[in-house]
Amino acid sequence: MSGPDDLEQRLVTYLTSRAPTPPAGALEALLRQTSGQPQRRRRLAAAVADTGWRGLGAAAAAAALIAVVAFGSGLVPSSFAPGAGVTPTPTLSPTTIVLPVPIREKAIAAEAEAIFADRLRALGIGTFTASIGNDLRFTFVLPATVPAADVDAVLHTAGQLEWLAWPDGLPVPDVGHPVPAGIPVLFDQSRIVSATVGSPRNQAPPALVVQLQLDATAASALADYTSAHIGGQDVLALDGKVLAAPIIESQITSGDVAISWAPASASLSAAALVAILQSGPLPAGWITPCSVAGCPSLAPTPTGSASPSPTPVASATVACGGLAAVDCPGAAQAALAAVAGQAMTPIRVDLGSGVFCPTPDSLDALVPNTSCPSDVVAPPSGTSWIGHAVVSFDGASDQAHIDLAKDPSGIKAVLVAIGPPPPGPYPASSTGP
Amino acid sequence: MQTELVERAMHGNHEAFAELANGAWAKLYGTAGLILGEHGAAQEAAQAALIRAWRDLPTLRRPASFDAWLYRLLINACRDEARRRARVREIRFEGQEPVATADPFAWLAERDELDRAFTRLTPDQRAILVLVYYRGLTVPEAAKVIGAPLGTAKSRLHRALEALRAALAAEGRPSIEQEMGA
Repeated sequence: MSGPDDLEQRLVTYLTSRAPTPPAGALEALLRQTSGQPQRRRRLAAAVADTGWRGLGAAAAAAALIAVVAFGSGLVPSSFAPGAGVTPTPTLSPTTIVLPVPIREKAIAAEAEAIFADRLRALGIGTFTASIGNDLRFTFVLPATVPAADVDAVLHTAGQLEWLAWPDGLPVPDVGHPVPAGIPVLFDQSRIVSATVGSPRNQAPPALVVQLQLDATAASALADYTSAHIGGQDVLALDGKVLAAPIIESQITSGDVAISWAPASASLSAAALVAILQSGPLPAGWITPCSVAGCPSLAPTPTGSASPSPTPVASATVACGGLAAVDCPGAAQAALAAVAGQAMTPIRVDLGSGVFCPTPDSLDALVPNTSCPSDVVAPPSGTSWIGHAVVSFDGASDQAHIDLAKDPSGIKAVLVAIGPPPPGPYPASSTGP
Repeated sequence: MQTELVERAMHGNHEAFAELANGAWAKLYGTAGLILGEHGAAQEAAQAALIRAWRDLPTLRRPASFDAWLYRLLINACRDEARRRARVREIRFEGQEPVATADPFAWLAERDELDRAFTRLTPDQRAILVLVYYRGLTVPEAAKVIGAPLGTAKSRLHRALEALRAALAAEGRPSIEQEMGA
């Protein structure tokens, strides 16, 4: 009986003898072809060759080792187009942008201010003043080279990046749409050592490349996940919305990942995205009013004006409270939509993690002589309660009490009651989980 | 010498790239042919690897690792090509160098048997066997080329050899080592 070495030796002989020889002229034709082709830029693609990401579909041969995700026109919601409709500042006069401070903790507000400042510097706005009082004000001269939309974007994006372990068989929402509840997070921004963004030379603008360097924990998690899900889909989410959804074509072991896509022209620019990713996310508890009801944006400053002109804020202040940061924007938006029919102007939304009416008779302690509506004791079909909202109105003492539920399509608000606020803090029994 | 060529090619020197391609072309083509089993597919994969190599050379981090990187591109191109074709064709190459043997009839029988057995393997199994037994890579080197951990590469090589033995057995004859080594 012969050992395995014999088979191995025979393989060497067999393979050497059976290896085909290339036809004459094939290499010369290939070299004529490559001599006219540009090379990829070094800075952007340093990690691409090691990632294992591959091009998609028919574009694979001509495109890249990276996933290409198209932002289809019309698929990008307004929250991913923060600069839409913004009028560029036509003068060199100083401009002031005002952000409401949604929370009273000074440390968090100061942290947010520092992050905003980093983002402005990353955009090329090196000189500005900042002040924190009842609101947060940045005053600066907008350089001609910096689009106003980019400034709006960096001031109104929380910047929470997450890599999701997308379940097999679950349809991936369109880019820019909310991620359903309950999707496991493979790792979040805290595991990203560095993030760079650029524009690949070989793709038509406004194509972007996001290059991430992961720490060892995230690299290991990604290696395990991609090994078990080749052919599946991953989702990179920014602020709870799909940023990119690449196909896994091979295991990624290096911890260096590059993803490219071609966003719609109104979405985040490369400059805005790199400013957001490099600065890191805003602190937990900070909620950007842009996500709620329109962004305070860079309005034109009157020509010749020497003094800053504050921009009015067109939305309610939002306090995230104990609600998950990724759910805050959608929750506040849903709460405001639930009171849209009231003849009052909402000025503040307080979010929390408990729900009103955990039992049928529990509301009376909060809103006297009021019982829980039968349709709010249980969440709407197919949804799960995630928390509550209390909406305050301009010039009114009554508040709207709202329960919040979530399903894969987003967050739904159920108006429970409108009535006076309780004399003290909300009883834990009524708002606790 | 090669490192210098790679560095020049990384900076856009196409003549340097052409020299690198000339040196690698025959082995690239042979490797792709053994994995894919057909001339047309082999040419597609080898060309795709070199086109990608030229385009992505500026992204190569270590010029000294050019060979491993190039073969990684080739293996990926072979996978693409194998997917593109509904199935991997049978190995029917002509014109290779004859093997010097005292018994040409025994060699032809062995070759045909191995042809049939090799056709039964998956492209990934063929790839690891070709990298180790045709290209002469060590298992750690092959692991880097296929982009897998060392343990995975070892087990894949082991399974590929076992699959080849099983395929030989399925041909209804003693395995090749039994026949040749008896």
